[in-house]
Amino acid sequence: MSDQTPILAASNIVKSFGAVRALNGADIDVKAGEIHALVGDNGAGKSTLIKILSGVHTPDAGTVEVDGVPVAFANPREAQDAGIETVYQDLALAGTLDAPSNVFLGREILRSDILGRLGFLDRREMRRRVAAEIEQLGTQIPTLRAPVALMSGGQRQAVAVARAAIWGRKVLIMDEPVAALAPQQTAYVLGLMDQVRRDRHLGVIFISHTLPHVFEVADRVTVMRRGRTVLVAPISDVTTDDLIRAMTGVTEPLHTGEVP
Amino acid sequence: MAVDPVVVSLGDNCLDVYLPPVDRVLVGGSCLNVAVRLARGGLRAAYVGAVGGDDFGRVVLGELAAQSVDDSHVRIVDGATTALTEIALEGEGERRFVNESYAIHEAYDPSEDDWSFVWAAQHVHASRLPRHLDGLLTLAEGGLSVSYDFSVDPVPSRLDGLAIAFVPHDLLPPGVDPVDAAHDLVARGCECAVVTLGAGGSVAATTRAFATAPAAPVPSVVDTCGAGDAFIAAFVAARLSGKPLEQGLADGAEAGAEACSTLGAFPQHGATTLAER
Repeated sequence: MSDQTPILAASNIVKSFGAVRALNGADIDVKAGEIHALVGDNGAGKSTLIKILSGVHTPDAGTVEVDGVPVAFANPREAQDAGIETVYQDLALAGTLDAPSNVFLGREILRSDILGRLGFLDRREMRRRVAAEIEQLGTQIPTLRAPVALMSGGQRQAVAVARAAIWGRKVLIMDEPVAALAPQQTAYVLGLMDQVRRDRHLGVIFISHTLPHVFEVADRVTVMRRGRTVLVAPISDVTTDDLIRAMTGVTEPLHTGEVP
Repeated sequence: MAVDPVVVSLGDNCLDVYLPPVDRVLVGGSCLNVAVRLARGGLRAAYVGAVGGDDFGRVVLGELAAQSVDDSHVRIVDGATTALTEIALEGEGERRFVNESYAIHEAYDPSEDDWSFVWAAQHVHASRLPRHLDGLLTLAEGGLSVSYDFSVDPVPSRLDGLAIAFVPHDLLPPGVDPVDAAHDLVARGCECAVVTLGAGGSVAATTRAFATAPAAPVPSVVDTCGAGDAFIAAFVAARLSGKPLEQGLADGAEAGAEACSTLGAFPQHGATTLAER
């Protein structure tokens, strides 16, 4: 896998907000079929970095490449057009709309007959595709016609992941996707990530504060501290202590031996 | 190793000088009060601002330490005077600000290191920093959760990215309906707006939700000083823990009522008379 060109790579990214240098030399790359965890303390720059990868922010310096070709996303739509889908912590779903409308928001399918030319949506086709996707992801959603505001946290998460999986052609970015979920739902979302990388061969970037989840699903890990990438390693080469040391900058051993 | 605070409160502190017959000097200032209330509620809180290189500055630092508030980024300005507010208590615990010397805060600019410290928190609350509101909104654009208390400063026409705007109703033009005011604030771009009406309760609005709450009963009002700050701290803590809007207002009302039943902005041991200082 190591000789493979990353499908998405960011190098030496710099980004300031006013007096704060949020990113000061940040790197991350992800390969097709890989789950790459991104970890770091609050303020380390994880969210800022993924907002650059997903076109929300533009970097002050540094390069972003898709399949080895430099890109400059001016907005999230351009990142989506390049095949990069992001699931944010707040899921960014419209609560009053049903699941298919959320999945197709801004990318609605028009009817193929004369009504389509008049702007009528093909709701049946949209529902069919969403139902197929959600079934493939193994989710139970009793009715696709209910507003997502009435769904459970896990179901809303599934809708957001389904939306990203339907549209994501290259990379799926998940910003703390399980932070607010119950254990059963957490296992389910972690399973979804594993499935999209295996079945669809997407690259997945997965931000998490929960190191056991990182060890459970990730192939590689990037650690950020104070706006910089301080460690990149295959998950099998590092321990929890290694990650915590890199995150905090503490160099002495975390656990001392027995007191003499 | 220092642990990053969950919430940084950035802005003013002062000594509240209660004039005779009360004759007490207590630590206060709206931003410091919010930090203390958050710490008393069990959150890792830091206060960031400036004190003078005088005895009063040492009193403020001593109280922060006693209240377990992180004071690592409090600047001690040699030659400057710690801010003072002279308060006359009148009937029903209403307070009248007789005199105020806030020059140290008007001249205060956070350093680059202070801003980095703020950035590492989950939430920053601020007040009385009108010159730095734009800087805070820039951090909000970068993803930091920011609240601002507009008790003293004018509300700008745009509040994009602000997580919570707190506006006391008596600061609004006369006759403005608090519900309309809350919706107007949301229309200016903040995620959540809270309009407080003291004993009249509070209203809050977001783009998706709206809530109102009455004030909590106070058996005997001693001093309303710090009640608004206690409300803010409780509301911020509720939002950070994902509680619904109504619960945030109810928590705020309860905290505000409790603050009304003691002298000073929060319970503190260092109460002395001005002569003893």
